[in-house]
Amino acid sequence: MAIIQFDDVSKRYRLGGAHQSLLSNTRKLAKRLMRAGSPEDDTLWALRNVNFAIEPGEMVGIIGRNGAGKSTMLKLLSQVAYPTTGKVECNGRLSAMIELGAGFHPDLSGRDNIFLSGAIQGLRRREIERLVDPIIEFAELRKFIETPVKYYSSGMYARLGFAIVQQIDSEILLIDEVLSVGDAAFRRKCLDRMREMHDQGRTIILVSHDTWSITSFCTRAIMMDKGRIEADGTASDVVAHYRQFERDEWLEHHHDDERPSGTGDVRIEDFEFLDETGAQAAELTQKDITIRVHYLTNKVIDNPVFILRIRRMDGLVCCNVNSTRVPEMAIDAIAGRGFVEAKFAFLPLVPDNYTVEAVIQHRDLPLVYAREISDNFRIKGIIGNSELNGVFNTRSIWAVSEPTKAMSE
Amino acid sequence: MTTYIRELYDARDLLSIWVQREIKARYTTSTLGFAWAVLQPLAVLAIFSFVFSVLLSVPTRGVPYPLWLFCGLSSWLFFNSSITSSTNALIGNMNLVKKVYFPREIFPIGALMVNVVDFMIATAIFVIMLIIDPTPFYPTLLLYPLILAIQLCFMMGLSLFLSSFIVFFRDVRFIVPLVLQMWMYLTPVFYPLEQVPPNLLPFYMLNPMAAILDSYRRVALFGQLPDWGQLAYAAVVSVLLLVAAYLYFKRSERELVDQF
Repeated sequence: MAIIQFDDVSKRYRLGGAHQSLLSNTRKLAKRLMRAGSPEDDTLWALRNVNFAIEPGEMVGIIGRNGAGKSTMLKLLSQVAYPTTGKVECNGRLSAMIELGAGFHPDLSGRDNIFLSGAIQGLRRREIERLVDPIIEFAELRKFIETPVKYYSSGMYARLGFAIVQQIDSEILLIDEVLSVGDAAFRRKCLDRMREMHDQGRTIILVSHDTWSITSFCTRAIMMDKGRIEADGTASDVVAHYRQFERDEWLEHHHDDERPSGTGDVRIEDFEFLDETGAQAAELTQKDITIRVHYLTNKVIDNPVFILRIRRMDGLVCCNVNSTRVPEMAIDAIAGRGFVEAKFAFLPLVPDNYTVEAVIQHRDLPLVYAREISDNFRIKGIIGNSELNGVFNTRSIWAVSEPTKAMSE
Repeated sequence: MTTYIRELYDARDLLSIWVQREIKARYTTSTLGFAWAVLQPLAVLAIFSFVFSVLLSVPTRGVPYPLWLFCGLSSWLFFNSSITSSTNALIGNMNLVKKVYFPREIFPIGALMVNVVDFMIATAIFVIMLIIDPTPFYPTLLLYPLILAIQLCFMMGLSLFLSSFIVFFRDVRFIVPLVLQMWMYLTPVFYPLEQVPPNLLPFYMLNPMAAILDSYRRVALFGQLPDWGQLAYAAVVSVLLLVAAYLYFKRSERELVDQF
């Protein structure tokens, strides 16, 4: 039996529903009476005829742009809101990690907030008492646990929030954009913990913009668009569809080359990340990486130089390479469709998610032809795999002066 | 109805933790902390005593005015602050209402329970006043909890109704303080019931709080039994209101979140 079932679910919102006053209601009523024929005018269908079922133990990613219906779906899943028509069935205890720290009281200590948060998620006082220590342990906040949470950094907030939810013994775990907060080490800890929970047979639903976390984490993905299911299948298929969809959308809206950055004469169409065998991959080792940038020009572009900036998720530029002084790249012009690639024999970045920003500009003039940012790609370590601090790591040769000798003397 | 109550009972730990949080947050952020729970009613008592005893000399059948006043004032302050805070209990916690499901009545009931603490402190002050004053402890005081139970029913009903109604009609935010103020003048808080002209009394007694406050004074200060007819009316109104308000609350609960 499915653990979650959406049966022809639709959800309608009345626009301007918030902040009603008697006056505006009367006015609205009058308006509605005036044009009785069109009652649908000020309503919005956030979800329309949505059907799917999730089996126990599945890891499902839900993807879609803003306004696609993801958060409405979450509200229906967590039974905060109810469908206008259709049926939502949920056959198991559900805990939701939505907006970390929702329900924290800023003036109370971390410990008090664990109790509050746990109780909100449906735990008994006795259960929380038992879980308090593991939670503090996981959050690595023992030193600050008696401090009011208003003095916490957002990273500490996130750590405490996740630490609470991961201890709740629920069959279904709902995670909303959690991977976007916290530092890299914490994100990894979350991911590891979620994998562990999945191994224990729990059903996990991850809602995210981040295509990388969906492909690397989920087996199945559902893509939403305008309140309907646009695609439902294996994570990699759906993510590929989503990317294609975004690109098509973009082309539709920008066919006049009205890009905000760049002259619009060149469009960077695609990024490819190739591993040492030359195969495309979203996850790369630190060795023999090729980043290939596909471009399309609508006229001849003079004296182009290419810049690649590898950025960490927090925006830090970890590596910046530039074709200016590369003899092979001293080209006078490019035209039409083509690609440019840079090969990195060894890119010793710390294992994490990165994006590439590609810029095509004029060699001498302050003229930017095009600028584009890639989807996330991932570096996995081959050396010092466990080392997550810093920006890069490299082999180090260690030595020690005979350590026992000094003592015996 | 029974399923609602069972669901609420299952969430009792949450309710108690929620109330603890509210009390803690309320008093740990101010320098004087719990002292405010004592200072606030005493300040109101002092100014009302001055106005209605020294300036207007309201008759109180031999009981010192401050004692007489406080007997009703403490319950009225409890009523007033509970209704004020529970009316805003849901809209003030939208953040949570939108994110996690648990019985929504936790919010208004919790807000009301936070005020119980203040009321207990006020009651302690009243008991101390009774000890100091030669007024004896009458055996009719045993009826005090019964009257309090009626008041709690009435308050709970109002809280449940208002906290949910305000979500759909935000104007309630402005109406409630205004009505509470007028209501205080139409309740025997600082004048005795005997002052009300007999021909107006039937209308005046439509207000359940009138019978409740009068009953408190009868049993605590004069050793009299309550006017059973009036008190029974207040009790019936309170219980009916509570049941109707709870059903209304649960029915509108499903649509709450769509209003935010």
